[in-house]
Amino acid sequence: MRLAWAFVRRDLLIAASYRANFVFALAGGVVTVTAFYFLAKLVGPAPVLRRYGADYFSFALLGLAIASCLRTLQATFAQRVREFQIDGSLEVLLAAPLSTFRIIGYLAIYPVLAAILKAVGLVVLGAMAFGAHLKINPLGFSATLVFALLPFAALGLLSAAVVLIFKRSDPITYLLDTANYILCGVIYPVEVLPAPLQSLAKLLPATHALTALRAAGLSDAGIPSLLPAWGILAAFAAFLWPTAAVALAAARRHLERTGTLPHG
Amino acid sequence: MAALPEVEVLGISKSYPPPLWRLGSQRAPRVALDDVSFTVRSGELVALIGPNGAGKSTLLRILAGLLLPSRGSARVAQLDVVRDRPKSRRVIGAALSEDRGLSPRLTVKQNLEFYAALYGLTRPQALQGIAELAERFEATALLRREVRTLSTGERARAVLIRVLLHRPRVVLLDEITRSLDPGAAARLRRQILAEVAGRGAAVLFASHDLAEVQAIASGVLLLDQGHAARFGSFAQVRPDAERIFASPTSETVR
Repeated sequence: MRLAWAFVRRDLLIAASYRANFVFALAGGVVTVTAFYFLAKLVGPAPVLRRYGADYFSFALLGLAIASCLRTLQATFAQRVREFQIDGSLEVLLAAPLSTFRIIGYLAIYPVLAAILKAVGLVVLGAMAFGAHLKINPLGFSATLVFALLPFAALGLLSAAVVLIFKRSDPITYLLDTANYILCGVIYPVEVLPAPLQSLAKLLPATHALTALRAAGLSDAGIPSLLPAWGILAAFAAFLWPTAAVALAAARRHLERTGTLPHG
Repeated sequence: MAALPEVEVLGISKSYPPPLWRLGSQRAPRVALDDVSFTVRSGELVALIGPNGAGKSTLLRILAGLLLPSRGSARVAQLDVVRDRPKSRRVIGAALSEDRGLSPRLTVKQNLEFYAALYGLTRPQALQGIAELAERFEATALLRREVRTLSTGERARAVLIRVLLHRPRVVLLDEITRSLDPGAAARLRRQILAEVAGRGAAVLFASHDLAEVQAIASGVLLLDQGHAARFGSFAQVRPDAERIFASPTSETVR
């Protein structure tokens, strides 16, 4: 815990030294929510959204907030590795008496916490200032969020392994990011996609995470109805975590064999 | 009975594999170290000298647990640097070439507190260690300054405090005085010597500066194209060192 706090404190102090960044991030969030508020007026009451128990603005607001959290989790491990490769401090960090897995994991804590805070801020802003209708089951929503974070953290660690070796390339994040936004129902429901794409969407954890989190956040879904999604997300996690651990160990071994750890 | 060596290198070789896209004769691995053996005991300060590309940094990175040897073995404080990772890294303090481990946006103290946590020091231990080392390295006034405002010499002292903070039994320094003016380099050398004498750490430091080596090293390992050309006192190694550095393939020596 002390170690996790050391990483969070360090990142917080660095983030606080770039004050303008806070303002721009806040402004960006307000602009996004405002844009979707007016877009929702254009869409009006859409029959396809009936099963979600919400209007389009509430549907999109929650989708954007959740997707930004999951995207951060998926991308941040690789981004942090790249950042430390470029500024030359990765080698010093990896010389510490900790496993590569732990060090890269700790590097992601602050950005993930910041993303969750930002997502909560977006939802609160949407509800308080723009009248989004949320019917949240707090326990169901929190538990689903934990189940959703698990596979995405593993995907993030897998991306970090790729960046450790190939430096600039991060095809995993790029491909998943694109697939998530197109197929998984971030700003429109999966039901509007053609049947083959709907089937494809079911192969991605983001689809199940978004569906379950919307159910818990928009229509107060009870835990029994969330259980199937929890099972699917847990299955993704059970496959992805060992894969990520093996990939990270292999990446570290590759760096130590080829001597490319200090290379930016 | 003599104490066990703190650094024990036995027949270490290291070849870098070629990138996959290289073809033909370019696919031959590059040999960086070839069958190097030596030991360093507690309280000894051994200089690694040799022309650029001789294998000094490779050797230090293997000991720091950042590179895998192709053959041979190495132990630090009786821990194998490959089999006993990451535990073996706890007994090592390393400042490798172009060390950029201090975040420029944080103060020296904030950086040092972070690294203290990485090496398992409690907060009181960290604060006490930082205060003591800062005093010994005449760096107390630097603690509250952001790293980006430090001069090269001040930064080198901050790096050295980071290296020594967790009281490592083995200290690895790769040309830490390279960018310093002669006065700052001499001051840092005195401080390193006093620290080694005071705590009995085993120190391995790479240098191109023969005057520096003569001033502080208790032993010298001369590397030439990955081979251990000579290991002994400065007087014993000097003739070979001067011959190797004078050869047309050698680039720099001061």
